[in-house]
Amino acid sequence: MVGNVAAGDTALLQVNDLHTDITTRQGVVHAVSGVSLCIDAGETVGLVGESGCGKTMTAMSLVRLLPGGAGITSGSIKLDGRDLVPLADSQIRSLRGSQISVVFQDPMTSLNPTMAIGHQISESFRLHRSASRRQARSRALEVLGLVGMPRPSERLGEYPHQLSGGMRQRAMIALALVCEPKLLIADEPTTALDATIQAQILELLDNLRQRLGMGMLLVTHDMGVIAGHADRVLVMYAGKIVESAPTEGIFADPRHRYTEALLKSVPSLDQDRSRRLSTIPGTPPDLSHPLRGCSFAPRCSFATDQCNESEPILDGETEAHRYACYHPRSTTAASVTEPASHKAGRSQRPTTLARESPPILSLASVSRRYPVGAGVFRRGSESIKAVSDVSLTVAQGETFGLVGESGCGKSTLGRLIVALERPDEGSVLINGTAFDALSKPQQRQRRRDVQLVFQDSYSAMNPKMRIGSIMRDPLRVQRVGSAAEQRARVTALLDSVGLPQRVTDRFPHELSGGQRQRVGFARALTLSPKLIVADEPVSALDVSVQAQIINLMQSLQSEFNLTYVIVSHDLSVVRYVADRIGVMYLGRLVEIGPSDAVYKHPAHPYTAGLLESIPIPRLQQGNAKQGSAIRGELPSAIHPPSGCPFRTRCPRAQDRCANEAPILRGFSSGHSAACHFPLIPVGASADDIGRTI
Amino acid sequence: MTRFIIRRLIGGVAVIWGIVTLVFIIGDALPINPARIIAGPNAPASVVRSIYNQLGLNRPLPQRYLSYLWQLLHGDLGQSYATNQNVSQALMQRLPFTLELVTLSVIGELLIGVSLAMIAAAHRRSFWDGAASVTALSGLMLPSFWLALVLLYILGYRWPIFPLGGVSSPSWVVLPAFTLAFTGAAYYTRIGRASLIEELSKDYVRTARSKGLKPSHVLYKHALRNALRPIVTMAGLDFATLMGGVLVIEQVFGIPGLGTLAWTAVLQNDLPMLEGVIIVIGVVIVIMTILTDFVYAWLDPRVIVRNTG
Repeated sequence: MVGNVAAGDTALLQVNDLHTDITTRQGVVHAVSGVSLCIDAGETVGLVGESGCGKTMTAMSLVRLLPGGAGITSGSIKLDGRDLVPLADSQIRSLRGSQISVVFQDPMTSLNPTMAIGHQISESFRLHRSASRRQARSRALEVLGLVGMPRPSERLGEYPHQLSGGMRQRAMIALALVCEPKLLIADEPTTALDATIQAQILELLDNLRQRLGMGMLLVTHDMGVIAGHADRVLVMYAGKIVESAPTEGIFADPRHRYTEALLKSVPSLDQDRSRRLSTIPGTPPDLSHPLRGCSFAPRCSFATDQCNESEPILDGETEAHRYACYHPRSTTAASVTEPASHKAGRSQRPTTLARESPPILSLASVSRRYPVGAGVFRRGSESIKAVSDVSLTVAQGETFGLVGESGCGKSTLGRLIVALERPDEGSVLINGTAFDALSKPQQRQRRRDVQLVFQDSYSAMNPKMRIGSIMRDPLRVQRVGSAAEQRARVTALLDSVGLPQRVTDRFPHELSGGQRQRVGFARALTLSPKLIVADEPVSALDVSVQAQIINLMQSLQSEFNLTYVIVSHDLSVVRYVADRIGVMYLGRLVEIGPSDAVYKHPAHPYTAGLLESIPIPRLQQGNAKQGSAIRGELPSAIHPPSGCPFRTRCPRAQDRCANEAPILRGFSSGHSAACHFPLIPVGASADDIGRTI
Repeated sequence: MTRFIIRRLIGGVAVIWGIVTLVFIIGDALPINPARIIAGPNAPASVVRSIYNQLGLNRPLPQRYLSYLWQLLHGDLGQSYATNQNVSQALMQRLPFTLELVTLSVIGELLIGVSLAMIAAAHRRSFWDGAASVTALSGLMLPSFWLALVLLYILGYRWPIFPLGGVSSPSWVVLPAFTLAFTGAAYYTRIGRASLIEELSKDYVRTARSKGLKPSHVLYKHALRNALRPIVTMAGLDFATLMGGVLVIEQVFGIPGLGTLAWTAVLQNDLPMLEGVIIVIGVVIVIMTILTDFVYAWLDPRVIVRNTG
């Protein structure tokens, strides 16, 4: 098995039939089995797949940064023709940081919190180039400038916690590039960042790769990131490469059934909302017991006996586009007919619902402040307005999406709605009454009506309790029914969320991420709530599982007549699930409206910028690389800009924006935005507004 | 930073005031008549009464409390009932020995404990991990007085490198400090090993490895500093415990320290002396706590930001 033979001899990196095993107590996990790839100088190769598919293990094998118990068992890794596999650890160390560098996922945890940025960057320069302290310092300054760090000389002495997320990732990139490596491994470099920052960082990596002529291995789970930034794509599944093609090939003409399914399960911005998302049934295989035949066969709807019997090899009609599948997606057939079930679901949903039903939730000029720097000497001297003057209503049975970058106040608003926090000003009314206006027993009752679902269900469950007890707990706390009735309720709900009965005896750590999120929803449903606030319900999940949970949320909504408030940074997901959308920026609601109107005709430049920064898993025209739409970073929330908070990053800002805070103005039916210079004319369709008033 | 220091100092003074007040109240509540102790068991009641009045014990409680505070502010801790010695002077004679012993013991514990922890964490689940843990635990299991006697026999008597007792030679501190350090190091090894292993699993350590640093360098330059927090907490507490707890070792090595002083004072119902010892130990503990906070701030730049905004 030789991958990309044509480029074989000249390639910067040539990996052949690489096998990496992890020895655990349960047995040997074949994390990487037979991966071959090559990367040319100046080229970006994308390695994409779901968690546990072996993409990170493949990348880390290249620099031998493997966890305990893991090791390369066979294969070769040739960098400039020199095989790295037989090298001693000390020889590999001399390559790390100088020839091959790594940019890791979360810059907060990947930088040493107790070491100054300058020191962390200059460390590897001093090591590999035996530079003096002074030389290393000036080199650190130079690279910080190269990665676009503002005021680099001040940053040298600062610590990671003093920088924002985007700045930290720039520092991380500077750290990786200080010795000008030939190969850069970027392992989920933007997964922990906001969409607008993500676009900036990806653009920076592109520029640096071109300027320095590096080869880059871009490891990601995000098809959108791959589409905009890779020259070639390798799709991994169960430790193997199942498809390898130029980026255009993968998106225009995916051949492997897994690639096809993966691409389909991502909700895109132009997704037909009446259709259910297609999902990949089941879960990835256990890599400690390799399957005979194709690893994807158990989850593949096209699998035949042949797939279960023998393993397909990576091959194709052309050298560039290769795939390991016996029943590849046909190029000639225009589109595969989808199973009928995909069309079921929500087609009957009335789109005018929002205006007809009475509001279940209404917020009137809600503000929430947090004191900062509280202490003996400066109590309450300054505060962050996490939520500032937000008014909105949510109708019974509606799904309301709340989007914005981290720190915009969307989670705080969610907590205000479930009365985990109280507003400093304004009121949060549910069915017309505020939480504090209720008597204690009524407040207790109110807690049943409004429930919360968390992003990370694992940390939101007591690890020492079994699933059955976790789900019964709300009923016990609220003293609803007898023990037998409670158990019956748990059983019924597990059914509704599609989990088998036996999970009641399991502990949270024994379930997969998707199963835990199902339990999260089942637990929220035990008390028959009317309103569910879901804070990033699918952000921690793989795309195929994410699609399952989104479909589940929609079927639960019609089954239990639920109203959802969904807080998320993922605009494609929110666009798909929400009827109406609110966009928040620095604690303020800057735009609100029906999701189609907001996405198709955004009025606020911030909304438009957010939409542009979403990496789209589609082919770009002429393979143009995506650029970042919004410049700069979120300003300080303690001292927000005067007037319009977005003006510091806004391309349309004028003097008026600094002097006068814009108020929400209507554009079309139910669609309004707070901007002096909106992207669409005010009252775009006057008759439409007239009808609603 | 200045604000951080000032706040810690104000807090420290408040704690010392609390200790002093508590000592006064407990001393007053004890069923001990100082006049009887001074006069002796056979003195007539009239003599006891006149001494009682001389000591000013017939004044109302608030008045006595204020004059007690006033005297304390001038460093006057009163006279010993048993020996009529000036308490402040007696304490000042003995404090240096105890401070030297305790300081060196804690430093010794840190050196032994943290070194063993680093060996154990660097070679996790190997022979060296086990060897380091066993060494540390053996120290914990040995009774300190036994180890002290063995050391005295070998290094004081058979090969007289160190003095057999007393503080006449400057090397008096070596054997007692080593005894305390070796018997206390196990805690540091355990906590340090756990803390280092946790730090070594963190992302920034992977980043450090990705730079091509040697494992020893990663451990020493990156992980150790982050792992030191619980160890520093331990050392601060340990210092406090040892200040009052070195009695046995002082006895074995014949060191005229605070422990011995406190012990005699208890036996003789010598209240002013005992109160003096308690206050001195209290002040040392408060100073140590403040120092610990400074060490935190030095170790972790995030501490100050969190405390002062």
